Order: sequence, then structure tokens, then C-alpha cells
Amino acid sequence: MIKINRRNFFKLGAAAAAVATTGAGVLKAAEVKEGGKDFSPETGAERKAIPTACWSCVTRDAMVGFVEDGRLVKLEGHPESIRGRGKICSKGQAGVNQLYDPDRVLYPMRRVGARGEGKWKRVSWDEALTELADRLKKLKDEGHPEKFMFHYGRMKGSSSKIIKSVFLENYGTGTVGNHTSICEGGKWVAQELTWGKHYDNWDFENTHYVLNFGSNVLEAHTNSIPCGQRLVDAMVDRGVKMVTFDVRLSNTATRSTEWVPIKPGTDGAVVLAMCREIMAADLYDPEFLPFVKATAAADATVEEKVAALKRHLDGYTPKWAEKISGVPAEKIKAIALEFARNKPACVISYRGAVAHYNGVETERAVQMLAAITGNIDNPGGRCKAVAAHWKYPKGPKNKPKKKKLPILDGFKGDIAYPNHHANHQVLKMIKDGQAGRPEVYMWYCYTPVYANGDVQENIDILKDEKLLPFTVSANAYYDESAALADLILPNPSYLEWWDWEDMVSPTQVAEYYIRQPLVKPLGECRDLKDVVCDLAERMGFPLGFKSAEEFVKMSCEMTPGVREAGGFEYMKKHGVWHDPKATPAFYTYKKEVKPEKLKKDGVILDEATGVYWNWKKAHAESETAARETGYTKTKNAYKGYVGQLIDGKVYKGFKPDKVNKSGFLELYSTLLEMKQFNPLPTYFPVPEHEKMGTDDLILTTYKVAVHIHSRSGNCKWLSEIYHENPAMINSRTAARLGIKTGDKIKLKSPSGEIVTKVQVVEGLVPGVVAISHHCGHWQYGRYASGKQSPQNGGGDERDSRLMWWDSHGVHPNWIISNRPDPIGGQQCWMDTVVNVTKA
Amino acid sequence: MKEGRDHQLAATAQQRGAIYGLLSRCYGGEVDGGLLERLKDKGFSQAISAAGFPFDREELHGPIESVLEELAVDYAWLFLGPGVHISPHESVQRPDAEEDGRQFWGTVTGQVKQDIENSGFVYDNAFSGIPDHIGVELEFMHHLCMAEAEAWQNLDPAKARESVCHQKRFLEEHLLIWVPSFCEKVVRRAQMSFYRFIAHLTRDFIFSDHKMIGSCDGRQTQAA
Repeated sequence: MIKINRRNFFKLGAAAAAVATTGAGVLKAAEVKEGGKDFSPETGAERKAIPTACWSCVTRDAMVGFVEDGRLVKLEGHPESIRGRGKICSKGQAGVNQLYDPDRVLYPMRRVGARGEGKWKRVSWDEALTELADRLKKLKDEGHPEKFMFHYGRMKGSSSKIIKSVFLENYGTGTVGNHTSICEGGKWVAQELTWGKHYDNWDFENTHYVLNFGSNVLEAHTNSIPCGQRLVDAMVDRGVKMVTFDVRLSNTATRSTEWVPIKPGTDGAVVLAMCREIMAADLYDPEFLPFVKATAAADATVEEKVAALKRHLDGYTPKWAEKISGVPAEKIKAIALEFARNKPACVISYRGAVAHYNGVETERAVQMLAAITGNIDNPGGRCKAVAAHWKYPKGPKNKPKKKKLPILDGFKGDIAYPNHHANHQVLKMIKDGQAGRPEVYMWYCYTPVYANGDVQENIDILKDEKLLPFTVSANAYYDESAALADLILPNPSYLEWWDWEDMVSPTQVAEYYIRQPLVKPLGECRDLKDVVCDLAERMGFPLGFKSAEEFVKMSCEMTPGVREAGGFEYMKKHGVWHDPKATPAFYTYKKEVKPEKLKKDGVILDEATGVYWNWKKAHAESETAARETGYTKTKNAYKGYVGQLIDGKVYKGFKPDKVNKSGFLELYSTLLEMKQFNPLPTYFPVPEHEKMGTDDLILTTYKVAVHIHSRSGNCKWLSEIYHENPAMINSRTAARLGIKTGDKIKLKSPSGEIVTKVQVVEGLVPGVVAISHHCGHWQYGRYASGKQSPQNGGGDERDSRLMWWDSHGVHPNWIISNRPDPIGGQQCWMDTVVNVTKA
Repeated sequence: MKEGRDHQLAATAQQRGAIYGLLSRCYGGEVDGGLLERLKDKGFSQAISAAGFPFDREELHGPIESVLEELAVDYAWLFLGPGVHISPHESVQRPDAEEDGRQFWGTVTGQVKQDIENSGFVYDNAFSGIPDHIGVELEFMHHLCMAEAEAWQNLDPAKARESVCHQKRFLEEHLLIWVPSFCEKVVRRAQMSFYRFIAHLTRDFIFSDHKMIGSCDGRQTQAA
């Protein structure tokens, strides 16, 4: 060590005084203030309990954060929430790690070297937003707002309204991508084609029987904690039986009364066979069938519908399904009859059944199973989702007519009804270039590199400045995609921002709740909702509110019920509100439309479908044009839907959304018929599965209870529990391939190859290899990848030195191609065929 | 005679405060044009050389914009992330943190904040960092030194001694515990000689300073 002696000390001191005498300029003399405070009896620290909401997964449970001395110490479920009933999951509790991730991005960062090189410098918010606003304004002024593409992963509640409905709408771009097609898009499209709305709720509180096709409801459901706990109650307290069809013995399957192993992508065959047996045994519900469309005619009788369904289903015998699925025919029949006889019963389904090439048809078949047994929108059945309807400020009145690049819905002709886009195709389309390319590509709560298949291709495209001239990531963390941005805007964690929320309630009674900051945003993080207010001001179209907080406050004062309860102040104090007088919303389709509504200006009857619709509301050209073109073929006619004529009465029916279906629950889909698909639910095999080689296996993926799909590897509590995801293979398959537990194998597909370890198991269908999501990060900080951001920094946070594991697993998306199903555009996560050899 | 000695003690405290101030400024944010000019000053360079610190002065003498950018990139690489990201916060770096304090914004962060606020300071509203940032802790030492200097000048030895005791306590309870190892990481990882120099200087200075202020009775030990 160099010694500082008296002589050079004085020299240094004098020189230092000349250079900078006051330091960083952070501290100043305090002013004394008074105020009541609460202190923790254990630590003596000042303590506050603040109601807020989770954002780890889409469930978004209401919760309470405990803050001591300005530091969040614990998160718990909100005891007054009717959805969560005081419970949150491990991911929710580990939100503390999201807030205090030592690798968080705290300042706006601008790329300095080549894109992806990892050289950055801090810029001020003013510099960052000046550059971004200049680029965006130029595009808008040139008449090309569509060349600004905004791509989000999770953006719900007020976040969606502020950013998408107000800011982006007023800017004028429609080139707005989401992530639904890599999540559950196929399920949503199937539900839109059948009963109109995209989301279902499962009433476990009142059900007598649960039939599950590919939902990991107890571990990773989209409404996990609210639903999961009610399912457990039903099974434990009332002895409700649950039968789970799954490729893998998931934790949901282990807790089920029975696990029925099934080959990947064949659930649809089993469901159709069940429908056949139920119809053949005349166990259908004649009271529900009037509300079902089962033939081309809108005025078909129940008898005609029954005959049509029996005719259609006749070939789908249990024996036929057994050959396809591997499920014994007798079991299919027995479970079908048991399901039909135990009313009310609830058939549930998710990605295990739906994320396939034939997934939309499988989900339509599941809807058929629920519909023929009358287990639709009834207590104990499969119900249309009920959620909060917030009122909110809509921003400036005169919005520009938005423009969009046709790059959201996949390549022309690939997808019949891309209602929720095909966002896994976006980068491919940008590479292709024929439909145009964005000049500014910005993403938020989304990681295009990691979350999609074809990872290497994603990297290559994002890196290419010729394809994407300017990239912006709004992110709290330095993930695999942020590493390829030109500008990183530091978003806070969700524990530092405002929102109102509206996730579905399992009780069929809407819950209104808010998210409020538990602590001040760390560093210079700014909520993107606040940032877009700023950007809009800079570009000359102020939104009418200055911040997310103001927006939430205005919404609380505008929303009936919340307003009367005390508005914003009430919500800040209590966090949640529901109408104590509200009754659960069941059988809403049975409500009759008041005659005066049918007499309103613009309302006409479409004879072909029996739909009453308002051609003016649907923005049809004229009444004559509307009548000539008809409801089904008039663009966006569904927006004018009023009611459905059934046996001489007009019912609210199953209101359409996104597509021009009728108000029936449509098992017979004219819309699909128009696109050359079978109008009734059918089964077709996954093409790749028909031409497999000897060493080929089907790759299936899944989620575990303690991780979010892509965004929780940075949580040390969670990564300590789960950080390694060996490839699981059934013992019979392993023996055939000469593989044992611990062996390294190479999995190869047309997209690439990965090497990983094997775990030989019994709880998996032979011929399948199962690899979970969540792992294999190469960025995202020390706990996700073993690296700091992005280089190894040698220690730092003490917990990182206590990491007892040095394996971070493997990411399966390197070998899964980005491929849409032909009806809804769902990414076919579960269809990849891989060649497996010892590494 | 006594007055002369007090003035001398005041001058010493000021010099020490100035070094803390310089270090605080260098960790507190990127070098800007004004600071760069002063760093390039001949007097400063000579003082650095005389102290024997390894420092490539030429590094600062290129085109200003490019030097500032290089310094900013290294600053981001070292202290902000993405990069090697040696978190400049006590709660992260402190090797002896308690079970629940081993994290970004740990319990020690609150202790530092409390210590600083109990001493009559508040964090500026515009400050966007974390309360136990090295720049803040060094600035706090700067203020304590300046308070000591003022007390000597006002011929108030009791107050001066109180400040010295506070400096010693803060050094021992905080800076000496985590800053030396932090500086070693910076020395190993910095790409620019400037930040290696700053880290060297920080580490050596806080050891020397601790020795210099000696016991809390205000009689300062002369450095060797």
C-alpha cells in the first residue's frame, strides 16, 4: 500500500480542495418535522402496512406490503380480498427480491459500442426522452406513426389503458404487439368462436366434479391462487373428484383423484370421444341446447341439434381415441359418463391441451363437452369471467386515425383468426421485410429474445441495425433482450408504481383493487406510464393527466361503487373494494333483451343468424349495405351486437367479441366454415407427430409453482428452490435409448440444439421429453444466470456468495420453432419433435 | 499559541474534508467537463505524482468529448451496470452484514441513513440514489470534517472533538469495513487508470485518515 505522509497529505488536500470541495452534493441541513409514526415492536423500526397488488404473474393478487424505515420487509396476501382471501404464492412473496435485485437497472442507459457489445453509458432522462420523442415525432410528422412499434408482454389494468388506449392511440400507431400468442391465444380464440368472451372462470366452490385437460391449475394457472385454493377446498372439504389428463405427472396431477397419461396433442380426440359417449347415452342437457348452435340453421330445434351432434360425433369412438391418445377406451367412456352424471361439473383446460397445432379445435371440443352437459355459466361449471369495470379518463377526444404495419398477425394465409395476433412471428416478419419494418422498436415487460422460440434467430434479428434501426427496452432488469437495446429506460419494479386492477374473480363478483408504491422508485427508475405522459407532452398532445397516480385517482372518483365507498382515499387505505350487495353472475346468457333496445336507431335483425345488431354502432356503410352484406360478413359487426333471437325471444345470449359470431354458444362455427375448416369441433393430428424417426421424441414444456415464465430467475429465494431443469424421460424410453439419470443428452431440432442432463422418471408418457421453462438464462443478473450484468463481478451481495448451486439449467426455446396454429395463431409450444442422442 | 494550533487543526480538517469531497464527487456521478478541467490541472497532477499513485495522466488529455465518454462508459461499467457492476453500496458490499441485511437496500442502508439524518442532514429531494452509496458516505465524512474545521476556527474544541469522534466512529462502523475490499475490486476491474487511481486513493486515504485522527480526544496523531 502507498503511504500517505504528512507532506503529500497536505499537497493532496490542497489539490483536492481546488478540484471539488463539497462532494456529491447529496446532503443538506435538515428541517425538523412533526408527525405520528408506528414502530415495529420487534425491531423498533418505523413500520407501515400498505395495501397493494402483485404483478409477478397475471393473477395479480391483492396483497399487503410491510415497510420498515422505508424498506420493504415482507409481502402478504390481502386479508380483505375476495379473490385471494389473504393468500399469495411464493412468487408473490419473492417480490421483495424483484425490488431489491442488486442487478437492477436504475438509470437510463444508452448503448455506446456496437449493439449487443455490452458498452453503456448513463444518460439523463431528459436526454433519453428528447432522443426518443424526436424520433417518434419525426415519424408522426412524416405521416408514418406505424413505424413506431410498441411490443408488450404484461400490460393489464390501468397500465394497458394509459399506455395503449390513451398514449399509443393518440400517437397514432396500431403497430402494437402483445405476447398472447405465446401464452394462451389459442384458448382465447376458441372461446371467442364459441361463447364470445376470451376468458373463463371455473366455479370450484359449487362444483361436484372436475375434469382437467392439460391445466396445471394448482401450480401455474392464470388465476392461480384464487382458483387453486378453492379447488383444494372442494376436494378436501367436499370430496370433489378431479381427473387430470396430462402428458406429465404435474403437481396438479399428483393432487388429482386420478392422473390419466395422454400422448401430446391428442386431448381433442379424447374429448370428442367423451362427447360422443355422452350424446349416445342421451346424457345431454336439453335445457341448455336451445342456446347452442349445432347446425348451420339459426332456428334448428333441440332434436335437430341433437341429431346433428350425434351424426358429427359418431366416428369419434373411444376405440378410435385410444389408438390416437393411448388412453384406454373404457376409461374414456367411464370418465365421460361420470362427468355427465355429476352435475354441476367443471371441465377445465389450458396450455397442455391448447398449445398445439390443433389446440383451438381441442378447446372448442372442451367447450362442446361443457355445453352438451349444460355446464356453462352455471354454479359449479365453466363460467364467463367476471371482472371489475373501471371508468377512466380517455385522454384527448380527437384521436388520429391510427395506422399499423401488417406484421402482427403472421404471414398472409397462415392463420384464420389471429384475434390476439401472432407475436412470435413479428421478428420473422421484420426480417422478411415485405410488410414493412418499424424504425423504432420498443418493448415493455417483454423479452422477445428469451420468451419466444427460435432464440438464435431472435438474437440475430434484434442485433441487426439494418432490420431495426433503433431499439428501446423499458425494463427494470438487464435481461437477454435489454442487452440488445440501444436505449434502456429503467422501469421500477411493480412494488414502486400505481395501477388499478381488474383480474377475474373466482366468485363471479367483481373485485376492484389498486397497486400503490410501497417505496419510492429506486435510483432514477420511472414508471413507463408516467414516462408516456411526459413523451406525449413533448410531442404536443398532452394526455389530460400527468401521471399514473393521477390517472388512478381520477378513475377511483369516476367509477361507480368505488367512488361512493370513498374513492381514491378509500382505495389507498383499503386497497380492495367489492359491492357487498352484488350476487354472483351466473346464467347471464338467459337474460332477455328489453324490447325498447330492439327499437333503437340502427338496430336490425339478421335473418340468417337471428342476431339483432346495430349497424350504426358497427360503423356499417348504410342499412342497405348492412342488410345486403349481412351480420356475419360485415366488418366488425359484432361491435353492434344487441341480442340473439331464440324460439321467439331475444336473449342477451353469448355476446361476441373480436369476431362476428352469433349470440348462440357456437359449436357450429360459420366463421370457421368460411375459412374451410370443419364448422363443428374436430380432431386433426399434429403434422410433425405423424412422421417421427426412431430416436425422435416429442418435446413438452411446463411451468413450476415457484417461477414466472421468464421474469423470476433474478429472485434469489425462487432460484435457490428451482434453478435446474433436467430433461425428464420415461424409463421405458430411456432404456430404449440407453440413457440413465445424470447422462448428458443432445436434443436437436431444425431450430438448433441443446445439451442437458437427463432425469429418468415414471411420471411422463413414453416417447416424450419434458423440459421446464424458467431456466437457462445468460443474462438477468447473478441469481438467474450466475453472472452479474453481464460480466462476472466477483462477489458483491453476500447472498450471491452463498449460492450453493452453479448450474442454471437450460432454455428449451433454442430448439423450439416459432410456429402458429392455423386457426388462432397460438405458438405450438408442445409439438416440437427432437432427435435425442447421448452427448 | 493555542489559537495558532487550532488554526492548524482547522486547516488539517479542511484538507481532509477536501479529499473526502473529491472522492465523493468522483463516485457520486460521472466526471463532467468542469471536473475534468480541474483534474487536468498541473497542481493536482503533481500532487498525485508526489503521493506516488499510479495514474496515466495522458488518459485525460484527449479530445474532451471523447475523454468524458470513455470515463462515463467506465463509470457505468463499474458502478451502474450493465457491466462488471461493482455495486457501490455498503449493504451489498459489507462483508459482515447480518442475515437480513445481506442485500441491496439492506438493514445497514437504514442505519447509514439514520446516522446521517441524526447528525442533522437530510438527503436532497433530487438525490435519486440509495442512502448508503459510497458517494454519500464519503460526502458525510466531508461534512463532518468541515464541521470540525469550523469548530476549531471558532475556538470550540469540545465541538471539534465531538466531530472527530463522530468521524472515527463512522469510519470504523462503516467505511473501513467495506470500502477497502470494494476499492480492490475497482482496482482489478476498472478499465481506465483514472478509476483505478481513485480506488487506490480511497483505500489508502481512509486507512491513513483513521490513523491520523487517532483517539477521540482531538489530539491528532501525525502521520508517519
